Amino acid sequence: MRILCPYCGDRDAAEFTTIGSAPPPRPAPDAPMAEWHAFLHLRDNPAGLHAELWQHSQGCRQWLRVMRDTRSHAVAGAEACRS
Amino acid sequence: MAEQVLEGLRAPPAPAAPRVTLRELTGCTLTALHGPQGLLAGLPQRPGWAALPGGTAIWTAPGQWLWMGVPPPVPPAHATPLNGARCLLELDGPLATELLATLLPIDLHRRAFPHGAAAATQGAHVPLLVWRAANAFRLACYRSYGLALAGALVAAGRGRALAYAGATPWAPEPAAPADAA
Amino acid sequence: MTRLASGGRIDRAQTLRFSFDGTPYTGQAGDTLASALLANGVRLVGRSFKYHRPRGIWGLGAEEPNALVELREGARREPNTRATTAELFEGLAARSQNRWPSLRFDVQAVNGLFGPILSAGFYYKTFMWPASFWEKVYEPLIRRAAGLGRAPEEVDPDAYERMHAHCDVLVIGAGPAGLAAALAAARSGARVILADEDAEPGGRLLADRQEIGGLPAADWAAQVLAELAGFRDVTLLPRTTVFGAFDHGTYGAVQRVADHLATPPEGTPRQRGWTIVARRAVLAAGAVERPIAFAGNDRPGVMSAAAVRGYLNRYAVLPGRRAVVFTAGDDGWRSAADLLAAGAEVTVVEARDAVAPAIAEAARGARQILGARVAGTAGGLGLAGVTLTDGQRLPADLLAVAGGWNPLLNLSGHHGARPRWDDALLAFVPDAAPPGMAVAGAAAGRMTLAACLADGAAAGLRAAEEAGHPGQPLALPRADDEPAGLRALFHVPGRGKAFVDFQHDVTADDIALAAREGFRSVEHAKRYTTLGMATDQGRTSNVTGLAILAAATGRSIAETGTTLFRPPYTPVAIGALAGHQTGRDFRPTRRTPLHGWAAGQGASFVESGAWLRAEWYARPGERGWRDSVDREAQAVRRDVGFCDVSTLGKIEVVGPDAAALLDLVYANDIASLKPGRIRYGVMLREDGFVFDDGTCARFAPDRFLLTTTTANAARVLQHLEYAHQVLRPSLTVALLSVTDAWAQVSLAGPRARTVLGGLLPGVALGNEAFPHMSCAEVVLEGGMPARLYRLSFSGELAYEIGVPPDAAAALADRLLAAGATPYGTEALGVLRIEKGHVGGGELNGQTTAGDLGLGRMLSRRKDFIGRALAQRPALVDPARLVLVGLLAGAVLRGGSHLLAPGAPATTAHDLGHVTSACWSPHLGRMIGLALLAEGRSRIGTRIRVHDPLRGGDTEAEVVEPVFIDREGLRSRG
Repeated sequence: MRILCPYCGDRDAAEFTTIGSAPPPRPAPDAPMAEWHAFLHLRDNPAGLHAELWQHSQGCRQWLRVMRDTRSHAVAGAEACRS
Repeated sequence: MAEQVLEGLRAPPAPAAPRVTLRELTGCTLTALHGPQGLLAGLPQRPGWAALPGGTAIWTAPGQWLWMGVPPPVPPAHATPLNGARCLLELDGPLATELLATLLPIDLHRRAFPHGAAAATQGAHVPLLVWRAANAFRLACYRSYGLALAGALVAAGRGRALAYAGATPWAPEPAAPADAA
Repeated sequence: MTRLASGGRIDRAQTLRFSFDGTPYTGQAGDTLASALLANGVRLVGRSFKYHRPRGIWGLGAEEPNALVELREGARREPNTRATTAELFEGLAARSQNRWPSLRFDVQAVNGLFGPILSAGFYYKTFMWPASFWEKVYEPLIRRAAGLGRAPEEVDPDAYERMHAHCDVLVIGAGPAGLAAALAAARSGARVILADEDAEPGGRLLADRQEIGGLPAADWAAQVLAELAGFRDVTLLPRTTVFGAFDHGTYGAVQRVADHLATPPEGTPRQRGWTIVARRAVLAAGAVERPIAFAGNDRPGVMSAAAVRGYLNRYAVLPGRRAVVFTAGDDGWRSAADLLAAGAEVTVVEARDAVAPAIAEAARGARQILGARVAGTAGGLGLAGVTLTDGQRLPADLLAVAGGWNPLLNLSGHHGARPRWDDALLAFVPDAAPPGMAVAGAAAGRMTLAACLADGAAAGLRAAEEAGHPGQPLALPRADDEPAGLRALFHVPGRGKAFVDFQHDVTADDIALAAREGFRSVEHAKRYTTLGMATDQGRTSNVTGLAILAAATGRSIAETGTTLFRPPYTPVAIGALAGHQTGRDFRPTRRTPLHGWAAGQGASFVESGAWLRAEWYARPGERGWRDSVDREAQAVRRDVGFCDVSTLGKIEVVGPDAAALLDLVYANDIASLKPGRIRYGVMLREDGFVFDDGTCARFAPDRFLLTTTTANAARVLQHLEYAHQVLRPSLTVALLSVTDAWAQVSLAGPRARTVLGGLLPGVALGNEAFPHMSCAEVVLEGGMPARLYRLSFSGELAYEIGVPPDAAAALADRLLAAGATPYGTEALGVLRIEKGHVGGGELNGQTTAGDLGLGRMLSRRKDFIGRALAQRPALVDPARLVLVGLLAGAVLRGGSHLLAPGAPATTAHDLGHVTSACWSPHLGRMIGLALLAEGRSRIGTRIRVHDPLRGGDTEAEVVEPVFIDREGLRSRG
């Protein structure tokens, strides 16, 4: 699998590490526990385009939001999280 | 001043007609620069390296550079001394590209990786920076990995007439021409 | 069989000696083992997998299902090597497989008598009863009887290498279509890689007598290769199989660098595993002839008709003198013509009722029987005769079977696409292909030479253009363009075993049985019969098998479909995938700046993740590690010692928002830490469990230095980067790993201050000037910049000194000269366990701050990662396992379980486990730290420590988890 890092260019996925699904926004500190549970545990599992977080750990070390199609593995795009 | 990292590197005797030569570059002062793009005139804005007065700057991350040479005139808040934190290696010769291709997964062809190019990647599971100077490749990895990386390069040099030429004092790379191809 | 007096591409000047089953033979350079055996009249080469039937050579190349031999001897022995792809070399030694005591007389051939019982699915119906027999009787017997060759047991003496390549166009296969594609792409200026599995590229051009542009086809191929070799950006890879089409234009290939030599030359790898990233690819892998299933179709002497042409034309070998050609299409007549030209007596058995006059004319001189089919064969260990369905018997020593052609489209299916059946071609052709791959030539169902050339040239040109290199169409030379007539014939029903999958001994009856038992789907039938599951992956059997399945289930072939194709296309040695990274080099080793110094001091090293760390420094006279470790630990508490702690992660956090970021990741308050001070910090994961602990030193308002545990260094840096880039991208802060920038030495013991003073004359180190948990940037005597920290892992008065790595050895020598004792990780561990400081055993990812007695550190005033979920009921449950200390009389081992005395030793009564344990030289007994249910309330009671795995069972006293200096006076003095 290859990922087009917006900084380093097209690279093999072996240079990256992933935490899987991109988490939803972190709840506010005083949000009810149910929201924190959902934040920690609940993720969509689509057959299709899926947003994931990958870090280019053996490259520029930037965290990227990658859109990957879970059926075909096609990577639709990768953008830096901090931008 | 950095002394030799590659103590105890086992390499076969240098062949009569080497086709690739490996050297350790010593005595280079290393600093991490971090801050806005305008920190110093001429800092690369994307992956690559640039020859600046007093040293060489290599882009390592957005807003971060590895500086090799006399510490540049930037505010202390934007500089972190790295002491001898890197092992620096140089590879040249007609088989240098082929040898590196056994370890590095990136495209090292002259069109894809010209004089002036730099990349953060890995080789033999060692995270490293690689850049192309005029007629050589240079590599930097964490010092603690130096022997492992050099050992992998020596192993890849089997059958490629590799000569390990020991330590050489580091000198800045000559600047890449503006229209490098 | 014989070697023809002239012709072929072998080198008649170079004779090579080889042996098969101990018998010496000779062959020529350019032979394969198969062609050399045939030239020597050897037809019997193996015994089949299940029934141990005598088997001979069927095919010409990688599709060979029968002629599997053990090649070489000793550590280089390779079982299941196809004789058809093994290049002959001087001294080659090969043995047949799967037979005892000999190839000619194999005891297990009696299995054939049990045919009805050994039919498909017998694995699932037998060996089930009695249950106890499985382990003691059936499994050992099956293990002895099953399998083909024997794997070597010695270490592989050869070296392997990996290679990475990038190109614009990867052309897979160098037959006519591949050569045309590569030429078109190369002339367009593209970076081209052309890979072919054969030593000599050319594909079928080397096996058939054809012309291209008036030249012999092989000469045209040589011309193209010569031109390709002249391009700087073209890489020719013969002896290279592209075995997989992976994602995003990534292809795997294995290059057989030295398989054709007795031993690899010095410095040469045996094989090279390539990872090729190609913008575009052209799959031009050709097609392979399929057999026809009829009774006795596996007898030695029954061969693929197209393979017979190859043996004649490429290797100058005549595989038989009285040949029968059984065909249902025009292509078989070409084999008849080539056999006649070589001097054989030929009978053509044609299933169709009529053939075009030109076709029949080409085989004038052969006896021609139309409208006929072969029903069976006769002969013991080799073919002696052929029987037709009308009862006619024909004497023969060679039966050449032409059943039609299967495009080798496997790689086009590696992303899950299934091919579609073309009724006109009577073949599966690619339907979809992985993005970026085009299929050309016979692999795409183009069955004439002219069509292959045109198709390849067009595909190569288009691929180059799509990769950014537009070019000119190739001028195509003249070549044969006559389509070959073909009628569908997959199976001649009759009595006797008609083999479909030769390698797994699957017959037509097995497939019919599978259908009757309900395994009608092609994927089920495959697994039930094992058709297509051998090392040849059904190359010659899949299509015939599913045609029979289709007929048995009343469906068309198109409706039945095929099974999925998966990499690897042919077997790949694991060495070629590993390259140099085996053994000690599997992963790189990291060394501290003091490694050389420690080795010089006689240190023993332990692997700690990637690092090597000194675990103790043995002195002369010490009998074992306990002597060294006890001495070192006592030296620290009584005098002063120093330890290399360089491996602990060090992260520099710099910038105006550094404190804000650290307040988010640490559970305790960081923003209030003053410059010049250090704070012990705990980080939680977002789920509320403890992630890591370490120290946080503030050198300036905008500059912090964090330490982490050795094991978590990379993970903590990643965590901080995540917190910055994903959670707080607006913060201005830089995060730098500086683990390698500083050699770090801890100096601990009552004399530590005195020794330090010797290194820093003029620096006030008194308790008021530099109290516990202070930090400063200093300059050591001699001008060396250093960072000084006062913190204690051991519980003694202690400091850590960070110096540039080049200065580490000199510092260590000075400390040694001052009488400080070097100590390693074992003594470090003893000291911290005595002090109750948590380490890896306690920070196991399942403990909370509260469990470890650190609950009060969690700030109530700020948000931090893990705060909310740390308050979940299960994480604050009073019944949780919490940290306690243990005092024991006998050996304590980490991992031992804790039970109430007298309770049964079952998991229902498990109260926790020992996390760290050691002999305490200061207390003179075994001590430990443990996680114990309701631990606080059990302090003062006794507990049973049960270690069934290592045979330990003792009692211990539960105490506070700190054994030395409970008030902490020694570190603060």
